[in-house]
Amino acid sequence: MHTTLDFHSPRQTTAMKFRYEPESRPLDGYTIKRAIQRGGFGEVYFALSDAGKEVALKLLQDNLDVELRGLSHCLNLKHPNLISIFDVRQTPAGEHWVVMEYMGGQSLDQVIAAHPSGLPLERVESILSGIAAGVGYLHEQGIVHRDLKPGNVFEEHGRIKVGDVGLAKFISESHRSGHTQSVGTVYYMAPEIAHGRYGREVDVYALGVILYEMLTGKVPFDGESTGEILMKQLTQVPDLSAIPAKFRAVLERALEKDPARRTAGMQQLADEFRAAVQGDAVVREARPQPEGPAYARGERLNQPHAERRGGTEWDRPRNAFERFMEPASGLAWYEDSRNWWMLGGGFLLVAIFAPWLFLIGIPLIPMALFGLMIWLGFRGALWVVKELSRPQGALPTHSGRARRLNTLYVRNHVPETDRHLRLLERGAEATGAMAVSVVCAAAFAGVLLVTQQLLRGMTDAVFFTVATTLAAWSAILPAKLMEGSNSQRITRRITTGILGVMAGYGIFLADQMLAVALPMGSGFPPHQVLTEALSNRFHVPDAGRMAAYLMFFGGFMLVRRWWYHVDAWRPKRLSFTTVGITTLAGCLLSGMIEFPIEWGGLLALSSSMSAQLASVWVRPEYRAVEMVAGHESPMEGAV
Amino acid sequence: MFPSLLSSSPRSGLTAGRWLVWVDGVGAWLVIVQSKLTIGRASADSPLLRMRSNPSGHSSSGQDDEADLALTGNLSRMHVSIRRDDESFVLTPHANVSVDGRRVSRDVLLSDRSELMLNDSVRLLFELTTPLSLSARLTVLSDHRPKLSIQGAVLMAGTCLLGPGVENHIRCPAWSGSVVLAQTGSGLSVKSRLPLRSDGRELSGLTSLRDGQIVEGPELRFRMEQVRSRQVDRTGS
Repeated sequence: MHTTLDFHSPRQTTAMKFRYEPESRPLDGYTIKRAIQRGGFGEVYFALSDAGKEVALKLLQDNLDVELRGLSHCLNLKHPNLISIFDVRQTPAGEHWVVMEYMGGQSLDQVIAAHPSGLPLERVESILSGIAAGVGYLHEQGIVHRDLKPGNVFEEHGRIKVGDVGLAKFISESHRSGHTQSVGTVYYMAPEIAHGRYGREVDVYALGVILYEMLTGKVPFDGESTGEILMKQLTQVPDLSAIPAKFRAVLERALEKDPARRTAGMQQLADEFRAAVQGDAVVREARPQPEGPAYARGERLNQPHAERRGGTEWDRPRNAFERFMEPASGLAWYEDSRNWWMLGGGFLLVAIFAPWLFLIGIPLIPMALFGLMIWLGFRGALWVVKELSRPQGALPTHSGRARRLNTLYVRNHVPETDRHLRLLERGAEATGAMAVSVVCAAAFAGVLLVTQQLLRGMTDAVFFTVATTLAAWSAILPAKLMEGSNSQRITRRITTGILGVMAGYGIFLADQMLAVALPMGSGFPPHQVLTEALSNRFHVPDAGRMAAYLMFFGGFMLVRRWWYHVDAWRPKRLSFTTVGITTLAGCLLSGMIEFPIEWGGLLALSSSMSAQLASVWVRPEYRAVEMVAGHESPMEGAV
Repeated sequence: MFPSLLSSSPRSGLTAGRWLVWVDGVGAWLVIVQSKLTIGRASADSPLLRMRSNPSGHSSSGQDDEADLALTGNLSRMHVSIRRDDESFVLTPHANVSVDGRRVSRDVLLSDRSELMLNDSVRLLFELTTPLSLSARLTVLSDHRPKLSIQGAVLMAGTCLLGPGVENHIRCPAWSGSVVLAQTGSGLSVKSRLPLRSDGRELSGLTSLRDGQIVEGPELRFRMEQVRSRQVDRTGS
């Protein structure tokens, strides 16, 4: 905590903002003598009972959803390495107090801060053993600590005690996953926590991070913001080069992303470390590995870190261009397949239409260019905003290639999940998708032109492209604007349907302009009604055709949940099932309205595929980062 | 720095010789203004008895014949005393005491970073933290708890410094500046460059402190508590 005093500002004194003063008695039977610190879940005071017992009183924060009943089995735990909880009380004012053992001495983060390049090995070992024993005992009792960090570990004359036991469990989920997550706890957070998994392995991971920090003085994953740190926890291999060679294997296992492959328990981690401290000779003599689960991975334990594919080769600062191209999901620009689609599709476009570019490519290019310009505009604005808020001189580092976290099951990162996106991001993603969809549409048209008899010539191909594009846009736009918000499905459907009607109108115009003149039937009663209305009330020429386009595309966008198909958090980037069903819907709708079926079917196919391919898709592991870290406003900057 | 207008004449009733400073985020410190500090075993008598005779209950007053710095441990009730003699500090052993490894049987002068060993188990460190002040600091090195878990004692010779740097008697790492407690008359006053407030008003210059006063500043707060003794201050050696 560094406080700076501005001598130029008017004299302002702010007391340490503790709620209670020395000598106050908010809790019957105890007198507060002084404040100790502001801890993870509330303020901690040093107090004396009326009989003179020294205790620590923790006042839990107001916004915590504390169930006093649930704490009862944590109350009666006794272990030399755990800070005892004496009682939990609630005052008439509604405050929750935890009465616990007072421990003098220092917290582990103070100890680590006093040793910037690491603690002496003996001390590391004793602290590690103490934490492992205390939290190991908790695990045997079926309790996971969930908030293990140096700020919760105390040392007094060689005694190690872990505090804040069991409190994490009783904080409501929304509090934990909200923006209020402080940077401090994220350093020790196991990757699977982002997916809502709180097994005992999370404590092992945290102890691994603490061990790393004790040995080197630094945490393995650091960053400017909670989101960045979290991203690294999820995807980046820890840099173990600062760790003495004999400990690298131990740390590697403790910091495994996959909880199933991580060191199995606290005691095991402590044992492995102790063995590594003493066992230098084992490595040098190359004796056969001893049996047992701790060494189940065999040779891997002794493999030098540098030989493995590590994250460090990817960990370089991004330059301005890369930051510009970076999509909202936080991937590097070359990791986002949409950018490759754009490039690939661009090549395809040029390849197919090259001979005719002079003639007919003309209406296509302005459209694509226009889309590109808008997209660039949004991207530029976003980039400017991000650049302005970036702290000077601190180049952001880029997380390495994501590793498959295939054992993690994502339950709560689906299209229906509430998320917050900035308008600027929505705009950037929407326009980006719209631009890419043009390319996809053109590619389709090109393929059809070459392989099918449906498209008789260039004009038809252009028309097909336009139709597909407009249909895709009418799906992308409303979906992106309402993504992550609590909108009703029916609202989304109707909005998409209305845009579909508008798209239908645009396509009708294209039909007129390009003189494609698709043959429409006229047997469908509503179609007849609409035709009449259009020709008599609005005096529209070729009303029958317009009515057919309006009804087809309006209905087409209405019957399927397009917002789901193009949502950034959909299950798969491209779902052929979706495409198949949409195509079928297109055919059925065509039959009903008496729209030409081949056209209807193929347009359905191409628009579904284009919309999906063009839309942003965030990989499941990155969704977790967004959920936990929240979408931090660039103006807030780092914590 | 300040002329030490020591009141060495015993008063009946209260002396302002001993204070407890409760510092938020740091700890409790015993500040000795009088010229002598005694160290010994914490009283075994139950504080409950004291409570009955003292209805306000939670005062931290010392037992009548308990030492100023009372520790748990194998010590005599009055094991050793340290007194200030003009500019130096003199240690008087009343029981088994070693200074820097050598057993002492009579008065010795203490120097900076002297290590005291009582009964071969309790270890204390005597320090003069800064040349700017003649005050000394005493902390417990071994695993023996002082009463009220205080961090240590400051034997004042005019001033006591509180602040983030290592030269301060009471080290407060999170503070943005220093606060000085100064001996004035028979009491203590406070002064600092930091803007301080107490009792709702800003403090300026040198302000005298009274028992129970809470002083607040930027990210700091501490409370002064006078340690009362019904016993007349013995000025013998």
